Amino acid sequence: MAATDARHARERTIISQVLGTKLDAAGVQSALDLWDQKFAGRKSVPLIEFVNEIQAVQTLEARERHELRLALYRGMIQAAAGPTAPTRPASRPAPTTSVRTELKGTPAEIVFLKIVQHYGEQLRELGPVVIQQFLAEMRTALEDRRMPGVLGDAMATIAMRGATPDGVQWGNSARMHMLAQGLYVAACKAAGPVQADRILLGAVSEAKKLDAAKVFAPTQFL
Amino acid sequence: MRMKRLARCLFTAALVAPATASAQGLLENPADLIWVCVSAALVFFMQAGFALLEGGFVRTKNTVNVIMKNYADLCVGVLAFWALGFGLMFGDNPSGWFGTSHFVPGDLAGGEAGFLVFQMMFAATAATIVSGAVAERMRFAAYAIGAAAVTGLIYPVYGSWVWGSAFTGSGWLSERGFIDFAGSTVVHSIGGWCALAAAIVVGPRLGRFGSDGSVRSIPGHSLPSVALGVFVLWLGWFGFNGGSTLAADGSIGKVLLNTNLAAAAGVVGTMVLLAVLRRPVLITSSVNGALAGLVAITAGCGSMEPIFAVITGLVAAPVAVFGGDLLLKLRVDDVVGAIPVHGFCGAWGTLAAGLFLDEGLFQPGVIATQLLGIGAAFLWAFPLAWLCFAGINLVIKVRAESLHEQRGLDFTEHSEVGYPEFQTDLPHAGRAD
Repeated sequence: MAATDARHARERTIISQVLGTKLDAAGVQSALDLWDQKFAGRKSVPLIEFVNEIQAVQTLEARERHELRLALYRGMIQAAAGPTAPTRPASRPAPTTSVRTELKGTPAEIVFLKIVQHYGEQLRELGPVVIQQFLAEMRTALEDRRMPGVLGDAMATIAMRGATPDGVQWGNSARMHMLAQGLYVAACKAAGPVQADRILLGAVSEAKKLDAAKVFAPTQFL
Repeated sequence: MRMKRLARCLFTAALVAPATASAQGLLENPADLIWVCVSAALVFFMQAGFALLEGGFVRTKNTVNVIMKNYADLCVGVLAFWALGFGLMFGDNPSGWFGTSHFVPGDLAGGEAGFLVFQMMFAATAATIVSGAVAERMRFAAYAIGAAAVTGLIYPVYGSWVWGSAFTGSGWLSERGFIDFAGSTVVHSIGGWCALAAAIVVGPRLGRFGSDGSVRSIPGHSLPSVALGVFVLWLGWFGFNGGSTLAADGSIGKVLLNTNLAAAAGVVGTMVLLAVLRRPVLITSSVNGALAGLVAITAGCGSMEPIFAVITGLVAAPVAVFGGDLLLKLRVDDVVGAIPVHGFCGAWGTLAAGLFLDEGLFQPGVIATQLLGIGAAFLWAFPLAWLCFAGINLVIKVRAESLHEQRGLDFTEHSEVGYPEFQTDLPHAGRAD
């Protein structure tokens, strides 16, 4: 419940920030009211419908409306991604409070973390829209696989910052395999299957260079 | 229980009922029989063309799977057509809606057997159209069952409407004068509509369409294979259309001439269209242009002048190109372009056969009958195929799991890969899941 409230607060902040660049205070307030009444709390937000229903926006040029939608889209994905959003709830387990760039853990964990890192590096190169969409899709993929949200947070941190959070219980190799599969599905949806295949094989190739790969073959995550 | 017993009785009666008539003069002339058997071999060879085409259009990790599907639909299709389809399509047809004899045919004369072999190859062609549309994500078992439904029921029932009976009776569309010489609608559109239904039920490949509506290109792994496949298909089409004369006579020349002209016009039309649209002249689009022309001329290759065959082929090009665009807008993922090429161009070709009939161009009555047949094909094949695949989906799931899409269906469905020297990063211990 606290997480939902925090996400709602982040979304309101994003809406205020984005619409504040184009609308006056009354327009922004009206949009926030509309958001609270009709759109808040939905798993999938129809941003086109939301923007179309904001009366003050109707006076804007089509191009400006498009830019607003795009900015909102990016902001909302960031809000959904949680740890990368500006207002991260303090009450949540905080795997990112202590982060490090070197890889530690069991051989399977080290290989897995390298794969996640590689996904993040490659997808960041494809641009902010792709990486943000990837984060959102990754959360959905992990939810579909009934994985704890804290793992999604941790993987988002690795993907965005290249740093590995401390104190995360990744579980056994079967669970990490499912997480890695979630990464692939998210990459497919965010960047397309061709890029996802390329990144996956690249990740395995990079992981093979690790000492840990001699104990735990990265291909086990394929 | 009573219904079950009744159904069993009807089925047994159908099996044991002797053929009430034999085909009068069906391929009795040895030259006719030889020509039809050679044509059957050429149509069989089209399966090789489809395998090359579809194998080239998919990524390396799904090559074995799509070729296995080609094998499966041929083998399952041949058996289903022999057991059920031939009787439904060519058995005694007093109602005009389906045949009622010659199920599991055994004691056939040489001409009848040759005719059956030729028609088996046609049925397998209708089924194999589906495999290209649903490549890279449909489960093998689900596809094989679907292929049996296409060849055993959907294709032959429509075929009986158009090509009536080889024995007694006639199909209702045939009675109205519907023209489909070698199967633009009977084979290709029916296959295309089944492919459309299957593609809708199975859904697009993972990540094919972005959430913003963008379309992600997923290039095939071997364009030379695609091009070679279409050459093989083009060759096979000479048997497909030429054999449909069912006679070794002078009419073959015109049929083959029209077939060749339309194919060439399809390629030229596609290349010109792409250039006019300022799009790259892709080999994938160009070779599909050849198929578009071939599919389109199949209905009218025996009944139109060569100039109209060229026009039929030229018009097929935009039908295939814009048809493909339309499917992408509708977010239907058709890997090889089977639906626009076979479904849409089959419909166009059937209409063209009416428009350009050499006995009189643009006759409203003929055109109306052609449109009726085209519409009947869609209304019969699409909903029934959708029900079949949706039903299969309820029982065994038609869609491969996302993990299997990641690994590739070659490995997960068949425990083999197409190019082992190059596909070294495989899951551990050769285990599929």
